[in-house]
Amino acid sequence: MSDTSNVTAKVTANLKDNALGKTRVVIVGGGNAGWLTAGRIAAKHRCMDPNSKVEVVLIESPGIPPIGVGEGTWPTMRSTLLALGISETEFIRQCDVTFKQGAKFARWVDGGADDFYYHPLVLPQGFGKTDLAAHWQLAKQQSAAESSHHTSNQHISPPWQLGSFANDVCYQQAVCEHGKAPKTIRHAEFAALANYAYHLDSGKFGVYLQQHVTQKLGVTHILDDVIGVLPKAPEASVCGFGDATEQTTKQDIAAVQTKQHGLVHGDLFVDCTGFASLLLGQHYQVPFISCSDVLFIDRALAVQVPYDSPDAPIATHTISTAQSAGWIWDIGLQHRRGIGYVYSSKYSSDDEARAVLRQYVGPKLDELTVRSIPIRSGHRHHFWQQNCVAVGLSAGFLEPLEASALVLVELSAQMIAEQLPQDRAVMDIIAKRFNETFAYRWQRIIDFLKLHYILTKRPEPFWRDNCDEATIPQSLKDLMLLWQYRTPSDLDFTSNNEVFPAASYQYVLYGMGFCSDKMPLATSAQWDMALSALEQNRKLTAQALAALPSHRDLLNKINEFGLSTL
Amino acid sequence: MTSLVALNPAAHRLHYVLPDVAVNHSARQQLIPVVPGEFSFVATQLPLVLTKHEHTGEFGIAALCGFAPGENVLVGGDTATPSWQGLYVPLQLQRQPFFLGHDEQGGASICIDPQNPAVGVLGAGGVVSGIASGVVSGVAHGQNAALPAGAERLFLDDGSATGYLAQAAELMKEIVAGEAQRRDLIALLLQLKLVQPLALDVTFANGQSVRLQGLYSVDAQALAQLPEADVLTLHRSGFLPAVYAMVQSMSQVYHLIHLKNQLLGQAG
Repeated sequence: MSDTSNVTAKVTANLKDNALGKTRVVIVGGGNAGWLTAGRIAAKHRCMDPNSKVEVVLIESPGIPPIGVGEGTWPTMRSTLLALGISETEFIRQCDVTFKQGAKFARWVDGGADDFYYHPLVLPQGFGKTDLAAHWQLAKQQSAAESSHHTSNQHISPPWQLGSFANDVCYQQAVCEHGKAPKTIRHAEFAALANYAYHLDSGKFGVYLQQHVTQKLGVTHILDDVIGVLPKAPEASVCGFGDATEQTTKQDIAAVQTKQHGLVHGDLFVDCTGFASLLLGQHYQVPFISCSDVLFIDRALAVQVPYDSPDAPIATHTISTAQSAGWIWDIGLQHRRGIGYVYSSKYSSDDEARAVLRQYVGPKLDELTVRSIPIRSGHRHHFWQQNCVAVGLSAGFLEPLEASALVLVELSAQMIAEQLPQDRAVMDIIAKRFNETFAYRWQRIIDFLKLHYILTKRPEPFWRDNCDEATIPQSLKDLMLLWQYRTPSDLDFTSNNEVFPAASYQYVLYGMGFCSDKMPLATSAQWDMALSALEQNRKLTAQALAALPSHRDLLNKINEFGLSTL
Repeated sequence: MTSLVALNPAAHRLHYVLPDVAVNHSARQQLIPVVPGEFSFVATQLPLVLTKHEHTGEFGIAALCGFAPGENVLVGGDTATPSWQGLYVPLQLQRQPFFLGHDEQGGASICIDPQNPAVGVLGAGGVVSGIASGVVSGVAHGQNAALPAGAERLFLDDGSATGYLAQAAELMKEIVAGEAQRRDLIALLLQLKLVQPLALDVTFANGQSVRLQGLYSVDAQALAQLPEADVLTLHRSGFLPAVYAMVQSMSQVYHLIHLKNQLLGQAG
């Protein structure tokens, strides 16, 4: 925590006027969105250096706690931590961090005990050179045809011992199923044997970021409440939230009004105020576009569950288990698990939901605190208005099925840092590009999440209704038609702003049993390449299992010895 | 698994060690840990590299002796009777078969592995037992009638340590001190950012190739570009000769390749 009295003196001297001619970015809201954005901008623009042309100020309310969930990340977080100059060893020690190597989706297809598939972080073997997925598909269709028609194809017999898609084409499923870490104690910080991301304690991460960003990156921290906005217009006066007029929505923000520090002026304001969306939503009244017609989840029950013993194994992947009216997330941190049931209130009462959660967690749920969080699925119509841009929950929210919340924060922070308008004249152009970029990204995420729902065979109404054509975006329908004729490939995802690679779609599609049954047959040369890729994967699987330590063992060693930067 | 036993005159009065066997038996390691005091001797024949400890990830410094785990191209002879052919015997080999054991009170004692082929016991009535292969001598005359040629007893008949054991104890002390120095050297190298990963892609005379990974060396370029204050620090630390020994030793990779080529030629 910063020394408020010193900060107040320094800040009030600087806040009124931008006498030094720096571009001042004012971030409203702490939490992971606020601190990641502050850190990204301050690192990029070297705000520790007094000659920097940029200044970052973050105003955080002392009374409003962060949302406290949101524990899954993407491999992008490794680059983000590096960009902020954070040590992976310290991050792991301070934030209860564990390694995440993908997601295991259990019971999404027919709900049976053996029904699961993996979406790992490592690409299928030979991706880009060999279309292993296509051959796997053809082989699968052929062996199904064989067993019913007693025909045979010389390419398909014995080498293709077909199991689950992810396990056949990628070694990471085996690594996860065996509880192995993605690297060894000899690997340098951020280096990997198997591509990985993190599970982290959201609250501890925020605290750690705050301390690092203020002490090492030169960000000014103000602990205060923002109670109004001063529009940039001649003779304007401060308006409270809810007092904005149509006129003020077309005016820049000159300053935000705080309770104890008066007006804080700025050139760019970043709204990290969470669901409240104080600046973008309440002041600028940018409408919220719900996507509850596509994704039905509207409630979450979250709980923190201790391990049964200090050396209980820790899952190295997110476990997402389908339930009657939604699904349960299960994330293993070093010292406890984070578990939550996200469901649709249209298909389940709160009592029924609690019973489902209890079934999963066990009777010990009765001793634990369960939080109920309403989920409004969707996003703002646009994200950057005038000189204000929203990052994090203030921009929108979707169920955490693919841990997209933090990666959207990272992508937003990166774009703002890299394209920071140094001059009001260019801001509107950058705002327009930001809005287009992120409108595209939100849409792609919605499509990809919906994909997880539409291939189910589960009979419950929640699931049946999810398969209704009317609830499926056209963009997704188009892709599903295309994918009868070919496997998802980079040809389908050509925008610079793609979020998920083609391989991710393959993992979900074929993990759930989709059949690309109109594909043309392959040549024998292609079969040979595919077979050797399959063989290579078997080798890599054996090597990985032999070389990698158990997940908990590695975490213990990192806590004790640390990872070298080299 | 070796089981170590602390030496004491009562239990080990009749024990002896064959030092040459001890050295040769332990020699077949790809990486032999070395201490700064012996760098200048080792560097005349072998590359000095940094590696990370398997269980802790901590850096150590070792002489590179081969191109695969368990391979040592300086060991000649055959599988049954290996023999170290380097000019200098690293302390890590010289001190075999002795180990330093630590008891619960934190005290240290010299231990031995009774199963080590270099360790033997004088039997009652002069029958020799536990002899390593190839070193049996006939019954000799005199007080040590049963002692094989080249063998060294650990304790005299009165229970006091022999000169050999006393020497071994001194060697252990030297190694302990050397390991502490090695840690300091490594810390300094890391602090001054003088360590770089080493990628060694080697092709032998018969076309076989191998890639060595997990090795690190001193970054000679970074060393040459050190700021003045760091140069002074390095000099004052007393480690400058050791650092240059490491840099110069890298050309010994060619020596290793040459030895390997010879071995491959013979295998032909």
